[in-house]
Amino acid sequence: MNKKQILLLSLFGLSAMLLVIVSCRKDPKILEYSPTPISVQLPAGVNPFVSPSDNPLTAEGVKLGRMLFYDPILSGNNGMSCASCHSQKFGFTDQGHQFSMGIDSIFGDRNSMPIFNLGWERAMFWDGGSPNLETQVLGPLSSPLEMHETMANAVKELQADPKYPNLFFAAFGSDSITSSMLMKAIAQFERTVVSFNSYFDRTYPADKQFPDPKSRGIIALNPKNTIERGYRIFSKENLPNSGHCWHCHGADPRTNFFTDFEYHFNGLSFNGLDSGRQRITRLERDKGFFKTPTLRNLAFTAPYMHDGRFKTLDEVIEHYDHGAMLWNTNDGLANFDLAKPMNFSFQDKADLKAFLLSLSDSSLLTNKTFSNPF
Amino acid sequence: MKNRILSSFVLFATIAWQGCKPEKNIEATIKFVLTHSINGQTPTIDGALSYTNAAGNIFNLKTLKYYLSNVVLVNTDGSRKELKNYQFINLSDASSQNFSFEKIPNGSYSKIEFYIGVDSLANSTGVHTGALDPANQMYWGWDFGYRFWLIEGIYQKTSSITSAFGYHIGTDTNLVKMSLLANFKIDGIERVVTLNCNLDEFFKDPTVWDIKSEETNHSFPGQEAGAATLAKNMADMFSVGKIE
Repeated sequence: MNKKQILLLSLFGLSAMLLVIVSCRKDPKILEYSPTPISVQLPAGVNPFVSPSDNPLTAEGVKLGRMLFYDPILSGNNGMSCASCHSQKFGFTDQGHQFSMGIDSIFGDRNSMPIFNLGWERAMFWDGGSPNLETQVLGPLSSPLEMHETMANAVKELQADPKYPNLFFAAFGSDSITSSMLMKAIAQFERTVVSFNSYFDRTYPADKQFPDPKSRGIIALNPKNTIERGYRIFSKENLPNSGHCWHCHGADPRTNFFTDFEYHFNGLSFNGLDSGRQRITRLERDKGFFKTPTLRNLAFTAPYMHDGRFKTLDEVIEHYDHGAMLWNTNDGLANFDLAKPMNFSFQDKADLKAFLLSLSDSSLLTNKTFSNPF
Repeated sequence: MKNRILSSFVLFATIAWQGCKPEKNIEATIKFVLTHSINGQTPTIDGALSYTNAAGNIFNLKTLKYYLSNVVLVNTDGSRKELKNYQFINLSDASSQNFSFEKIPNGSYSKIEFYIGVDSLANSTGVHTGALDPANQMYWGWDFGYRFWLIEGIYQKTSSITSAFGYHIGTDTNLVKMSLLANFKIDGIERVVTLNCNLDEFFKDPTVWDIKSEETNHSFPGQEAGAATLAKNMADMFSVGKIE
C-alpha cells in the first residue's frame, strides 16, 4: 500500500463513519414533548397563585406566550401587538394615553389596564367581562377597536409561520395550533409578570413588619416619615383624617395586592358611555361599578380610573377628598366612606401621595424576563 | 348408533352455528340531519333579496350560525339519555348540519329535547374548545359568553335603500329550551332523524318582527326586550321531520 492508497482508504473509512453518524442522528423534526414545569419566584409572605388545572406554567409555554405577546402577527394588519398598548416601560399600560388607538385608527373608551400580578385576579377587564386570563386574550385580539383580527386567521398565520409550529409543539405537545393553545400561552406569560419589589415592599416585607391597618401597628409608625404618615391615612379608621382607602385597596393587607379584586362604585360621575359592571351583570344596581385597580406602580400607569379621566395622582386624591358624587347608593362602602368630604390637609395629601408612590416597583420596567424577545 | 352419532353431530353443529350467529345489537347510532327552510325554500347565503317575512320585509341572508346543545332522548318509560353535546351549525358549511351519537340504547322514544344555545355553566366559564372554539366567532370578546344564534343579512329598507340587519341572541335568559314530540324506536340499526329549522318562524309567533323597528340587536344592555322577543319567536322554529 502506498501513501495514496492509505489516504484513499482512510478517507473512505471516514466518510463511511460519517454516513453512519448522519443516518443514526435523530431527525431534527421529530421533537420530544417534555415541558418543564416552572413556578414564579415570590417574596416570603405572598401566597402563590393557582394556575388553571388545564394550563400549568411551563418554561416552554411562557417562552411562547412572551413571543406572542410581543408579536404583531396577532393583529389584523400585523402592525400591532399586545405590547403596543401594554408597554413594559409604563407598567404594561399605554404610554400615558387616556384611550388606546387600534389598527383602524379608532380609539377605545377605557384606559389600558396594567399587566402584573394577574394570577390572583378573579376576572379580567374593568368590568370583569372575562372570567379568566385565557379568555381575556380574545377581547383585544378580536375587537374592531383594537387588534381587529379573527381567532381563526391568527391561528392560520401562526401555523404558516416558520418558527411557531415547533414552539407550540414544545409547549403543548402538538404542532397543529389551536386558538385554545394560543390563549393559554399568552395567559401563562402574563401570570409570570409579578411585581413585589417596591420601596414599600423592601421596607415593610410581607412576612415581617407590615403595619396592620386595624390600629395595631399604626402606633408603631414613625410620625416623622411622610410615607408612614401616608400609610396611616390609607389605613386609619374613625380618626379625623382617615382615608378609608384600604376598604377596597387591600382588605387583607398581608396579601399585599392593594386591591380587594371586587367591583365598587367610587363616586365618579357617569361618563355617558360606560355602565361598567352593569354591562356584564345586567343589573341596574351595578351601573358605575368598576373593578378595584391595584395601587401598585401608579408612578408609571397614569392616567387613572377606568376612563383615564384623572391625569395625576393629585386629581385622584382630590376626587376622594371632596369630589365623590353618590348617584348610585348600592355600594355600602361608598355610602360609608364617600358620604362626606375627607377634608385632607395639604400635608395629608402630600403624605398620601408619598405612600402611594412608595408602592411603585421600577424593576418591573426593566426586568428582562418580561421584555420584548425579538 | 350411526344415527345417534349423526344426530348428535347435527345438534352440536346447530348449537355452534347458533353461537356464531351475530347477536342482535342492543344499541345503535342516532344521526340528526338539519334542514332549513324559508318561504318554503332552502335558504342560500348572499342571494338576491328574495325572502319575505311576516312583517313584509324583503331580505336575504349573509350569515346564519347557531348552537344546538344538550340533546336529550326521552324514552317512553320516562328515562332520559342525556348526550351533553355542543353542536355548532353554520348554514354555509354543509358538514356542520348533521351530527351523530353512538351507543343509544334500544328502546322506544317519545321526545327529543335540546337547547338553542349554550347552557349557563359553559356560557359563564370563558372560552372552551371543540364546537365552542372562539375561532367560530360565536364568543363575545369584551362581553360575556356565547352568541347562541346569529342571523345577518340585507333588507329592503325603502323602495330605493337597502340596509344591513343582524340579530345576535345570547345571555342565559334567552336560552331556548326545546322539547319536541317524536315517536321512534332504536332497535340495533342506525336511525336518522331530520330536524327542520323554519326561519319564517324567527320573524313571527308570537310576535311579528319588523326588521325596521330594530335592525340590529346584540343582546346588549338596553336591548334586552328585543332579544327576549326574538328568543320567544325562536321557540317554534324547529320541528321533527322524517325519521328513517
